Amino acid sequence: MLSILCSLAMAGWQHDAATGAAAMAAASPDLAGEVAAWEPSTTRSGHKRFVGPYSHDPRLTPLFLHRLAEGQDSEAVRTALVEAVSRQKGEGYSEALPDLALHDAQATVRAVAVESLRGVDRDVSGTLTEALADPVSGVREAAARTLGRVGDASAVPALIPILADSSPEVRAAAARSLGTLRDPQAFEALVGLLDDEHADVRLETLHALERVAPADAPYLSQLDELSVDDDARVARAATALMR
Amino acid sequence: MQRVSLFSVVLLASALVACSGKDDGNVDTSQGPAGGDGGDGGDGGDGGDGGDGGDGGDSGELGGATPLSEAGDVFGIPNWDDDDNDITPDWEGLGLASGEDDLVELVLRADLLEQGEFLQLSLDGDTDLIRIYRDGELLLDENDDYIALTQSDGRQDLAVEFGDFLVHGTLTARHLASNGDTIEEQVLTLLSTPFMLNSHTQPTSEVMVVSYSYFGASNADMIADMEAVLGNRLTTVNGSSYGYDVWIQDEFEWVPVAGEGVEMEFIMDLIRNRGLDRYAEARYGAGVGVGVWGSGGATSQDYGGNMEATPPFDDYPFGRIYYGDGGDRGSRPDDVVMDLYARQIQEPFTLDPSWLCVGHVDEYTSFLPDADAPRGFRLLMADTNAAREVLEGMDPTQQLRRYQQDKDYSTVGEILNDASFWDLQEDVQRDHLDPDLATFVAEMGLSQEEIIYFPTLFEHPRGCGSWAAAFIPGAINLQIADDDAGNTHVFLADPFFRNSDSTSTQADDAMIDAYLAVLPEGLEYHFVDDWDVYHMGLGEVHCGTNAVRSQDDDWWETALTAVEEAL
Repeated sequence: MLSILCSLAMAGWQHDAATGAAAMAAASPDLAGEVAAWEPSTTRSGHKRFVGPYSHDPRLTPLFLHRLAEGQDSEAVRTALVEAVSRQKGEGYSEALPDLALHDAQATVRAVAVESLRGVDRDVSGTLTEALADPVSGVREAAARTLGRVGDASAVPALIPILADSSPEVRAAAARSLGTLRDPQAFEALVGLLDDEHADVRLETLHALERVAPADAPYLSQLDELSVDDDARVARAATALMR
Repeated sequence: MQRVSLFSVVLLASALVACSGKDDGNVDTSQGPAGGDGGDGGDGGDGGDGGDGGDGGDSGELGGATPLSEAGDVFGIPNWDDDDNDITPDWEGLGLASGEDDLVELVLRADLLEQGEFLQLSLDGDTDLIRIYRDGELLLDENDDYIALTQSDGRQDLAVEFGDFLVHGTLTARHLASNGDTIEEQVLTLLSTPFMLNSHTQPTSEVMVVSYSYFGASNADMIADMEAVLGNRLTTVNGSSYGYDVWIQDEFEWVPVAGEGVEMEFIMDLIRNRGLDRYAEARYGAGVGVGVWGSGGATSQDYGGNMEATPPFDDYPFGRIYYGDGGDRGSRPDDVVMDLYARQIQEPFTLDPSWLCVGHVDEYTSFLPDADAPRGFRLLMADTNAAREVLEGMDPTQQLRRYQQDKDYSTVGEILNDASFWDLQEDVQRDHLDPDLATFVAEMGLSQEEIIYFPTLFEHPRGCGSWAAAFIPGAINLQIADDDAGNTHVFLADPFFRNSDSTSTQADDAMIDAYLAVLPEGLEYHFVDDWDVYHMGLGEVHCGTNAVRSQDDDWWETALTAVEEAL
């Protein structure tokens, strides 16, 4: 009775995944059983990733989503499941990823789900904008970065306030995306970030300004000081921009 | 012969009298004076050395031979292998190991002494790390001020043992007359090999790869391709025994260890704490030594793929170490590399791979031998601009099946049209690749002719945050190996920059064409499928292999000045 109530309480993608997984288990019990126990490989950098032909096989998406819904795996494995689902692009993935991006309890799962939204064939700007308010900076960073990768210029008004985020990684990601979107309305806000205390932010901001306003950026008054910045990358970028 | 303790500070003449009580128990028991209290320990007229007396008779046949004429400087190796398989490094064992073969011979012709003359031997320098043996028994170490030999001791076939890398000492041999006057003196240098890393351009005797087969992902084809070329020179490590940890490049470094007439294989075991952690111990034994440097927890910054050596050049007969310094990206102080710096003659310089998800220098640099190059090698440097030129020269509708499956791009055109992707390439080039290339140029004096701009693209893989990794399988992360016939082969990741269906082969791959257009002639190139097991795991061929290499030159012949400067 409890499991029935739980099923009824599931979000749509979770219910569909359970149904799809059950169908898969009936049709291919051996494969379904193996997928349920499949452990991801350890990448050279140490995080987990599913590799091989099954890792991008769309037929397995319901099984992967079902594992995600069950929540029995570690955070590292669940993060790998999300990454694989984003490559499989099987049934239910485009519904699951936005929900995971905003509501999963585990931050790295949310972050990778956010990154994976780029490959979803539906409008994800609203979800990404909402993820900019995530309490975990790594998720906000992923959202800011992915907004640029999606290439939706309507995201600029949402990204500009993020330049004041408390996390330097988030500020740097927002600056980077604003540069990629090349919208001049970000110019003034970006200029205000040139004296950021974090070198990565200053660097990304210089590159963004060059892309947003290629004609004006070389004449910014801050470039003289930045050309002798303590961080060699910043100094090089400022010097190059002045030329 | 007598051993004299450090506490017997006496002049030689008196020592020859006083030393009689310091018999080391290993000498010929027929040496009466050594075992007693006689003041004429140098008489040596014992019948037990009759054989030696015969040797002494050879002196006339040796022309100008003297007691010291066969003695020369000693260039050895740290005795850190385990010839007797007692699980203890031979240096740390009690006495000489059975089967010991890592000591350097030294000959002193005491048999050529005249009656009443002596040879006085004393050890200086790193005496705690040097031992001298005779007939398998300890003759001289840090506990002795000196020993004295007489004609009756006969020809001395000594063996010198070192306890570490870059150990330096001297053995002073004085040929003394019976009245204590010096007839001849020779100061012999005792030196063990400095610690060095191998360069890609050195000859290989063995290549290692870890087998992997799990849930449809396998490197069996790659291993078969390599085995077809290398035969028995390829060692396939059973992945199931090591947790399918395929990153064997990162686990350890093979270090060339050779001295005059001695050599061993040596593993610099790195602190990594992953599946292959026990591999070095499995190889350890007779002829294979293992050492561990560094401290603290595992950090990617100290993995093998982040420590490489340039080929020899100019004033660096064994090249220079280059390694990635991750700066403040979660790395600890570079214990390993700083320790190397203290030991080696390959003055290191640093690059900055901190922008990469893995963060290793082998992800964007390599060297290849090239007989036509000014100094015999060329630097391969990842170059995003060169890769873009390749894409721009392709049909934008070209299907890319592997990239569609794993990378969100179906065609060349989709890649070319992704502004954020090209922003990343531009930033990687100017913020990271160009500055590190400038470092190579400055540190090695590279000319443009010595640089190969190797087509490479990067991406931000999901799960790596703002850190990058190879987008096209990183062919620059390659392995070089020799076959039995002496041909040099290069194994690179197949870029699969084609549709990869049954009608498409490597011959149709524009990226392979671009690689071959810039790679040196005279080497045999093999593009192997590393996609599933390595590329998707954020590594490539070099990351997944390791190689035992030998050095072309003897360090004591070509680099003695540099070694002495490092002391």
